[in-house]
Order: sequence, then structure tokens, then C-alpha cells
Amino acid sequence: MWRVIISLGLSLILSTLPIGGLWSTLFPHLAALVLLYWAINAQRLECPLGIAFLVGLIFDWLSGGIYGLHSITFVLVAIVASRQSVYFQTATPIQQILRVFLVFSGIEIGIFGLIELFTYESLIALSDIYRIILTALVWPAMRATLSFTFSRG
Amino acid sequence: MESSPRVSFKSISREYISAAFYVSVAVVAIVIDLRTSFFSLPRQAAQDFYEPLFSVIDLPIRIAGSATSYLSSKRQLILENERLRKDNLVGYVADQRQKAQVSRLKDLEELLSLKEKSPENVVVGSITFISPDPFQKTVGIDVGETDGVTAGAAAVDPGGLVGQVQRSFPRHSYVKLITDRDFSVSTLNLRTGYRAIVAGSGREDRLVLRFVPNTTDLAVGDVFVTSGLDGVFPIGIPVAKLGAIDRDAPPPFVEAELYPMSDPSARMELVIFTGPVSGDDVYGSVAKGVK
Repeated sequence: MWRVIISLGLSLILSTLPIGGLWSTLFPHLAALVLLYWAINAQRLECPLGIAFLVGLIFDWLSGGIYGLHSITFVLVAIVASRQSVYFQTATPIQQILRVFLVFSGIEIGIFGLIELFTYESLIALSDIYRIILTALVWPAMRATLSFTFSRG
Repeated sequence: MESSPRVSFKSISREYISAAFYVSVAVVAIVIDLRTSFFSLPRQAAQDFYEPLFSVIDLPIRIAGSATSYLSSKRQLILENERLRKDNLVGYVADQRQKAQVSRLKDLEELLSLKEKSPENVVVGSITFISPDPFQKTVGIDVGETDGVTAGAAAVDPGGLVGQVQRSFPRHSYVKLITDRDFSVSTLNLRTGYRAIVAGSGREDRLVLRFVPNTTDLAVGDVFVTSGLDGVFPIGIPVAKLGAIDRDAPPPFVEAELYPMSDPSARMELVIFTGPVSGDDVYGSVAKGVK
């Protein structure tokens, strides 16, 4: 459990650092990737959706975003990841990248778009698409790093 | 790596129920956040939480920014310094050109004054060629027979005798300078009236006195002008000034070094006499001493 907390905590801090500029806009969604990793690989984790919800809430809190927005995203990511854990463990890196892109873009654009319909608030920007693409591209490296770091623990 | 999937999810329905719960809570949070200022306090707390962390994290970024700014400023200064150096060089060259033009203008004014003194039998030519042979002191000028220049004519500058037209062509001529080894001219010592032959030494700035007995009255500073006895050069054109005398040289002749009065190496224009010209007309003040 401590591995999950440490990795998620670090990824949250890294993801929400106000670095500014282009780097801030195109910084990959590290917290979501770490959550995805644990949702796939830590099946014995108790209450994964609760953790995802909490991580999303903390993310919104630290990033100054709308509270609950990333909670929904992370909960849905956790559900999809748990359902497709077998696929992620057997697919090639390219397939995983495509799947991560589809999952993230589907969830973020779908959820954000749905909320936009009801709230009339603009939540989706072009930079979000870039960010999703970058996040998907980073996924194999992130997975390898987390596996290398935490598989022995 | 754990291999058995769906261990944590007891059943699909339970998973969906919990997911629906969390999504519902999140939607409520979104609505509250968008419509009210309920979360302003935790948002402020988040900023307070991050504030010290930001300052620590931002430190290397600020240092890098300062370093970049310093390096950028330094580079800008180097580039500016280089540009100013180039500008300075360009300015220096322009300044030198201007000085050269002023000098040449002065020369031309002097030449013009020479021509004005004897406008009919004088022509001004520009030097277009300098002999590359170090043993020949010859220059080419852009005036020739069509301008009235003939072989044997005297070439002078505001200082004095420069040489003699060696060969003349329709549109250009060659002038043998007085510093050429083969050049010699009959002269007079202005102070004593003693006639002597002044010849070239092959050096740019030296002439020699030939066949003068070592008992002759000579003094440093004596000025030698053309005597007019050779029938080539008019009388009174300054030729040389005595610079050094060696009376201890083997007799019977004195060895003396003379400095040419003219400066052909520094001139771009020469005056050529195309007809009978009195040295008195041209170098009045000097020639008066001859009489």
C-alpha cells in the first residue's frame, strides 16, 4: 500500500507543480498514469475506486481546478484499467499507447464535454489533446519505471 | 507482478455501484464548485500548502533563469563589442580615406598652383604604373604625346624635380625618377653657385653628389637646383638638399648624401613641362636665389 501512496503522492506533486509556460501545458498526466499502473497491476488493492476518487480530488485541490472533475476521470480510468488489465499485460507497447490514448481521450473529452453541456463552462482546450497524446506516449516508459522501482518491494 | 485480475472487485454490480457513487459525489462537487464559492477556503489552503514548496522548487529555475540572463547579457555585450569594434574599424578606414583625400586635394591644389604659374606649357598627369623592378625607378603617367608630352621633358611636383620623361606614347608616358641609378642632372648649389652633378642612388630617399672635389665648399642644408646648363631642365627647379658629407672618403671626390626635394613616392600626380618653362616662373622664390 505504501508503494501506491508514495508513487501517487509524488506523481500528484509533479503533475500539479506550477512550472509555467509550455512545459506546464504539455506535462504528461503522471498521476493518471500511476493510477492506471496500479489499477492494472495491484489487483489486491482495497477500494481502488475510492483511491482514484481521492487522488482526483487532491489533484483538483492542488491544481486549483474544479473540484470533482478529475475525480470522475480517475474513477473511470480505474474502472477501465481493472477491466482491461489482461489486455495491458499482454499488448505490445504501441497497442498500449493507442489504448491509453483512447481511454484518456474518451474519458476526458466525454466527461468534460458532458459537463460542459450542463454547466456552459469551457473545460476542454486544444492543449488537453496534446497532453493526452503525450501522456499516452509516456505510458510505456512510465510503466517500465514503476515496474523497475516497485516490483521488488 | 500480480497476475490474477479482478481480485479486488468482489462483483461487477458492487463495482458499478461504488463507481456510480463516486461519480455522483464528483458531479455534486463540480456543481457546487462552479455555482458557489464553497471551495474557496480549501483552494486557498492548497495555495498555502504549496507556497513553501514552490519557493524551494522554483529556486533552481530562478537560478537557471538568472544564469541564462547573465549569459545572455554577456553574450549580447560580446556581440555588441564585436559590432562596435567593426564599426570602429570601418570608421578608422573612412577616417584614413578622408585624410588621404584631404592630402591628395592639397597636392592637387599645389599642382594647380604650379600650372597656374605657367598654364601654357604644363600638363598634369596621374601616375598609373609603378615599375615592379626594384632596380628601376620608373613610373607611368596617363598623359602622352597627344597632351604635348615628349621624351626628355621634365617632371616635377610642388617640392621640386621628380624625373624626366623617358618614353612617350600617344596616351601615356614613362617617367624615370631622379632616384634611379641611371639618372643624373646638372645642378647648382644655391648658397655658393657651385655646379655639380646630382645622380640617383637607387634608393627612394637618397641622391648622391658626383665628381665633387672634397675641398669644395659644402654645408649640410645646401639646396641644389637645376642649373639649366644641360638644356633639358629649366633653371631653378629644386632638386635636393644636402644631408650628410663624408670628407674622410678617399680623395679626390667628396661623398655626400642628398635628400630629394620632391617626393614622387607619395604623389599621385606629376606636372610635366611640355614646352619652355622658366624655373623662375614655377619655383619663383627658390629660383631667385640662382640669379
